[in-house]
Amino acid sequence: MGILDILKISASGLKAQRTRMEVIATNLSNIHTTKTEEGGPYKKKEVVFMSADVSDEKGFGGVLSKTIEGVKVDSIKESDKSFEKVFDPTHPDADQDGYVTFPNVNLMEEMTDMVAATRAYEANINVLNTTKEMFIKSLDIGK
Amino acid sequence: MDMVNLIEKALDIRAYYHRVISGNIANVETPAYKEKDIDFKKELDRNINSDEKRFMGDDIEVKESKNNEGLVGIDGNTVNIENQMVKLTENQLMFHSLVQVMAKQFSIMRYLIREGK
Repeated sequence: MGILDILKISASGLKAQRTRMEVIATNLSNIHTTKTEEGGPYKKKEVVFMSADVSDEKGFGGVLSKTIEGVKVDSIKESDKSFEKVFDPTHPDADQDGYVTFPNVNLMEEMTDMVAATRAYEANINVLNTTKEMFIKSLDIGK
Repeated sequence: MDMVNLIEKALDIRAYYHRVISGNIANVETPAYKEKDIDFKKELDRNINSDEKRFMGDDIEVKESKNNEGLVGIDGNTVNIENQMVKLTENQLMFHSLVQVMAKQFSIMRYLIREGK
């Protein structure tokens, strides 16, 4: 595990948070989508993160670095939360009783998730910059 | 091969790598563009073992990088911008280090020319 592998870990974190942001954008853009290809309203998507070995080091060094892991997106799953029913008989997708089933996306939840993703992204960038500074400082050893 | 030549070749490959990464970053929004990458270690090995001819950067093998975690953009673009920025930083740091080694090498030479004075 060299100092440059730390950069790779930060990169994996950045990529994961970007994917999370993409999913949040998908959810927010579909917040009122009542029709999907598989039928029914849009289902909220959620990213599942998994820790993963980012180093491509082989041999003993690779074994040592097994415990130091980055992150990867394992999957993007659909949420099982219940849908919201709104009474609106004039809506084209209303059922016989006049109720429209809206997606299980909560605006407030998405907004807080978005802030969390932004902050995590920033944190990863900070780690990256500090690691870079450390590396540059190491060049001054023995000067 | 002496030290100065070795560092020179390594610097050459680093400079070329910088071009490859710049190309990737420039094409981050190009539909169907595939991320490119070179294997630094392999290229350096090949250059050391080959004859002493001047390295021009034409014989470097540029491949499509395969590690994109299965997530491809809807336009078929495979550039991972964060990864590329990190690679750019890494490349810059390694270039910087190599220049330092080269400078040290020359300072030793200068020391010897001055007969250790």
